[in-house]
Parts: sequence; structure tokens; C-alpha cells
Amino acid sequence: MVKQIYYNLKLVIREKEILFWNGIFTILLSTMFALAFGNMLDYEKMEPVSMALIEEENQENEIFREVINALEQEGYIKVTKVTEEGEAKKLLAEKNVAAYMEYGEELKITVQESGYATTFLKSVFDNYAQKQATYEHMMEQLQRPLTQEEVVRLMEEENYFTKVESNHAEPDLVLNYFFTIIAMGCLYSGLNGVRLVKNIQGNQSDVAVRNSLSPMPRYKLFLSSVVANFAVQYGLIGILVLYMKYMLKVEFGTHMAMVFLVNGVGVFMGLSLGVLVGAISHSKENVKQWIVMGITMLGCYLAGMMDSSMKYKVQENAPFLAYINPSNLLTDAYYSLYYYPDMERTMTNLAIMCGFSLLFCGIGIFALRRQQYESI
Amino acid sequence: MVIKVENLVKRYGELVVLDHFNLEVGEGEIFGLLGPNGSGKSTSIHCMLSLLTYDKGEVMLFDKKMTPKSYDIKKDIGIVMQNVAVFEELTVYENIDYFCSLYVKDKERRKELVESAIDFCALNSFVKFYPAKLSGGLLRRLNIACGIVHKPKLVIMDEPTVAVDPQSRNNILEGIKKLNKEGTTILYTSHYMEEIEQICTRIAIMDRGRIIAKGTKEELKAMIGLGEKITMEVYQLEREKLEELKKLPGVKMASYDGNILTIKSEKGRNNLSPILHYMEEGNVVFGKVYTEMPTLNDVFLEMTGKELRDNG
Ligand SMILES: Nc1ncnc2c1ncn2[C@@H]1O[C@H](COP(=O)(O)OP(=O)(O)OP(=O)(O)O)[C@@H](O)[C@H]1O
Ligand SMILES: [Mg+2]
Repeated sequence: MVKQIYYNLKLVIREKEILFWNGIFTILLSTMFALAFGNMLDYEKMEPVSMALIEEENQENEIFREVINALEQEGYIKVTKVTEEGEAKKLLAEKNVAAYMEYGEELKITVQESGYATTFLKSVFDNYAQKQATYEHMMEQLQRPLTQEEVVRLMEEENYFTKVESNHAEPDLVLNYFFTIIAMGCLYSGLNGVRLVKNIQGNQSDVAVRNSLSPMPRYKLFLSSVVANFAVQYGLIGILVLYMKYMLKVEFGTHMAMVFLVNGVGVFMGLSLGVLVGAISHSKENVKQWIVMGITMLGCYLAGMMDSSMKYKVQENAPFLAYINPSNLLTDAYYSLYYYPDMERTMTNLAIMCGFSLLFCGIGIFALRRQQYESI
Repeated sequence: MVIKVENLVKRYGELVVLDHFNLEVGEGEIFGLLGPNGSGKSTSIHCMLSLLTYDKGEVMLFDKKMTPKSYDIKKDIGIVMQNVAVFEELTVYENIDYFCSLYVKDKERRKELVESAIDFCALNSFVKFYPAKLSGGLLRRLNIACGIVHKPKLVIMDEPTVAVDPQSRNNILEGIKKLNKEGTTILYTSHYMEEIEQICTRIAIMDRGRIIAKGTKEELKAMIGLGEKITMEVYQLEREKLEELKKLPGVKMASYDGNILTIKSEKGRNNLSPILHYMEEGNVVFGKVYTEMPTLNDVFLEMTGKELRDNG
């Protein structure tokens, strides 16, 4: 089998078209994105998040007022003050603000769409709500309201609005674009999957006839091919990630090992998708390749490749779609690794992806078991 | 028996492609399967190798039942299919080595085999070439090399010389004979009767999915009531003379068309000298004269009423 893997490696490396899509195209695309978003990668230039605040009579919550003021002064948020909820609702509906907030006895935040802005606001205020007692306690001890500086300092100590529940300085939507490119690269391994099936399925090509009339069992032909294709694709995605990290300065967060694990699962999912399409579809090879590319591109579009708000729109309106879109699962896995301090979300994504891979691969292998055909 | 096929029936919907096809090939034979395009030659091979399902019948190779998982049978078979089956991305050497590696694990042994296949197909100067850079004839030779590299006991060749120039074709045919001398049993299909006549020890003629005759070429030719065929260039021939010619003893059929006189004799008669005699007596001026023995095409023509291929 070693020899078969060796020759399959040669086959993959010399397959120029597939190499182009997985290797060169993704690098080019990410470079173009980097040039286009050059200044957006500069975190300082984040737009303040706009929100509405319903000011009611006799509001007691001094600390909260301070917090809001501090955030506004620091340029994190832009506050529009209104007096009635109806007014706030209107602003929200017209998308002039990302959220509105009521404060009285209890803190209440209403958001419209999910997205970075609302995630940010929610995190700040959730956290504030939790820490409210601490502030009150401090004020009691000091016997006076906290000054703005004190509030900011406190919050920075807590790090809850700069870190926003994340282990990073600022969440960055631009990153999502790059993550979709990696997702696309991984899923383009499907092209290899289609090709490898073609080479071993007797009714798909002449070399496959030769292969299947040899005494080499089908599963060995399949495995050696999968190993070789996986190795090459994994290598290419690795190069892409390193290129992004070191040349384009794309932030991946601190869990680089996990990033490479996601790469692996992604490539495997792509290959499985290709195997599935290759094994069950009776179309010509290029049609199958279009199918794989179509699924990938559409998926990447929905995951925010062209417009990052797309990802949140899908999550909001069709969460199910977000969960079954392989491109989105991958993009989100990279994003979560960067964004969240814990691995929970990444792990969920990984688990779903593994599930899909096994499902695709399982059906594919089942279809490949056939070694005798009605017609060739 | 190396190959034994009994009552093979293969249908594509309404179309019966193999209709109770029977075949027996013994060890050491070069067995020719001759049939026009679409007669079912390739289909019969695909069924024999369990690549295609079939509706009825039984296939035994090396006296064992052939199934898709008969790896012990497969290891002794070499296949040269009608379509060239090589990897575009691998060089000549790599292609041969790859296909050999499916049969032979031992590195040293494989190296020997690959080199001998390269010699055998005279591909020595092209080992580093990619298939796209090879001419049609060379590509066919590569196809053959990939099929025979592991020195199988049985080689099945499906029209290996299609679209090959006469020079390369002869090389290939000589190669097949050599292979046979080394002890390989060969099943060879073609719609070129000359090839089949040239190399095969036994021949089966196939039409519309059935074997309609089989035997050595002599036996086959003896099956029909036709002897030698005389062709003459005659510049002028009156109608009465043609009728007289037809009445000569031993003449089965005579026709005159476009300055060419064709006379077919009955089996076992030598008619040339009486005919020449007649021509001289009657002062008929003639040019070139050819005689030929009946071909397999004549056999096919007589049995099916149609030509084996368009140009006869
Ligand atoms: N997949 C298929 N579906 C329907 N009919 C088919 C299929 N494959 C072959 N046939 C038909 O079966 C018949 C036999 O085909 P086959 O290829 O075996 O002929 P052949 O003798 O090898 O001809 P050739 O000399 O052209 O190679 C033909 O009439 C062909 O049209
Ligand atoms: Mg054929």
C-alpha cells in the first residue's frame, strides 16, 4: 500500500487544476482581501456601536449612568437618549441603533439582529449586571458616587468590555472573511474526493477498470488514495493558514494547535463530501466538480464571505441552515477559537463536522462497495 | 480450460447484447474473437471479468468461478482494454510501475518486471514521457505494457491495435506472439480479420452477441463452399463471354464491373489455368491477374449475409 500512497501523492501533486483551486486560488484571494481590508485590520479604527437609552424620570442607577458615560467617552459606544420605549423601538427597527436599553430596578437590553455589535453590547451589560453588586459595595464603602475614571479603571480591571468575554483585544469581523477562505480551501478538497472516486470506480473511468480488475482489494485502493489526498490538502491548508498568520497578520488566537485540528477535520469533511458526490452522482466529472464547488461557494457566501453580516442574518433567521452549512461550521470554528476563551463552541462545531464527515463518507463508501456494474 | 463461458446472456433493457455466448479457451492458445463493431466483443470480456453484471450464464476462469472478489484469479490475468487506461499525471515508467505494484509487492522483482515490460513494448526511449506526449501507437504500447507487466498467465486484449499505424501494429502482433511463446494464454479480440488470421491459433466469429462459428482459420474457411477468388483487369468483355465463363466447370460466380472481372471458384478447385486458357482462345485482352484464397470476411459474408467491415 505504501507504493500506492506514493503514486497517489504524485497524482495529486501533479493534478494542476485541483492544485490551483486549493493552493493558489485561496492564497490569492486572501491576499486580495488583505489588500482591500488593509485598514480594517487596524483594530483602533472600530466604529463605535450605537445604541439607544431610554431615560426615565427618577432613575436611581448612578453607577450605570457612569458606565455608559465612560463607554461613550472611550469611543466604544454612541448613545442616543430617548424618553419612550416606542421611540427606541423605532430606532431599532430602522437600524439606526444596534440595541436599546432600559434601566431601572432591572437592566434590560433589547437587540434586533445578532452580530458583532449586539454581542459586544450584550456581553458588556450581562457582565455589568453580574458585577453590579460589587459596584454598589464599593460606593457604599467610599460613601460617594464613583468617578468616571474609577469606573473605567474598574472595568478595565475586570476587562469585560475590552475583552468582551473573549481572550482578545477586539473582536474583528474582518477576520471572518479570512476564515471563510480557509473554509473554502478545506471544502475544495471535495474536488479531490470526486477525482479519487473516479479513479477506483470501475464505471467511471478506464484507469478505474484497470484498478478494479487488479487483485488489490477496493478498500486498499480507496484508503491509499484518501491518505495521499488528505496529506496534500492538509499541507496546502497549513500553508494557507501560516501565510495568513505571518504574511497577512491575520489573528488566529492563541490555540494554534486547535486551528490545525480544525484544518484537519475541515479537509476530511471536504474529501468526504467529494467522495459522496463522486460515488452517488452519475454525472460527468466536471458536473460533480461544479456540484462540490457550488455547495462550497454558496456555503461560504452564507457564512459571510462576501458580506460578513450574512453570517448573522442566517444565524438569526435560519439557525438550522447555519448548522448544516459545512462552510459556516468551519468558519465559525475558526472564529470561535479566536473569539471565545473556552472551547465549547469550537468543540460543538467540530463534533457536527465530524458527524457530517462520517455520514458523507459512510454513504459514499456504501455506494462504492459495488464492484460489478449494470453498465459501463 | 483457462476460460470457460457458458450461455452468457447480457441485456441492456430490450437490447440483447450477448445471446447465449459460449467460449472455451485452452492453455497456451492465442484465441481470436472476431466480430464487427457492436457485436458484443467488449461486453463479453467485461462480463467474463465480472465487471458487468449479466442476466444468465456462468464464467469459469482457471476452472474457478469468477466473481468481483476473486482476487486469486485476478492476480493471474492481464488486461489490455479497448480504451487506453493510463494516468495522465504519471510518466511511462511510473504508470507501468504503479500498475505492477497492484500485483507485485517485492521491490526488486517489480523493477525487473517493469524493465522487461519496457523492453518488450520498446518504450525504452520514452520512459520519462507523460502519456499526453506519446503518439497513438506509443500510447497503445504503453497500454499493453501496463496490462502485461506482471507476467500474467492469461492476457485479455480488446482491440489493442485500434488506431495504430501498420508499422506499430506489426510490432504489437509480433510481441503478442512472443508473449504466447513464453507460455501466456491470450484472448484477442478484433474486427480486423488480417490480424486475427496472422496470429491466432483458434478463432471464434461473433455476430450480434452470438458465436456463429469457431475453429482454426483453415477449418473456418472449409466451412463455406467457396474456393479461390480470381480477379483480372479486363478492358473489354462481351456479355456472351461472361455467360460462357460462368458455365466453365468449377466456376461458382463471375461478375464484370468497371474493367474488373471477378471469378469465384468452388471449393477445392484450381481454376486459374482453364480460365487463362479460355481468355487466350477467345482473344480477350487482360492486364493484371490476382488470385486469393477466401478470407474470413468471405466466411462472415456467407454466414451472415453482410460484410465484416465496410470496405470488405
Ligand atoms: N452501457 C450500454 N448501454 C446500452 N447499450 C450498450 C452499452 N454498452 C454497449 N452497448 C451496446 O452493446 C452492443 C455491444 O457493444 P460492445 O462494445 O460489446 O461491442 P464490440 O464488439 O466491442 O464493438 P467494437 O468493435 O466497436 O468495440 C452495442 O450494440 C452497443 O451499442
Ligand atoms: Mg469493443
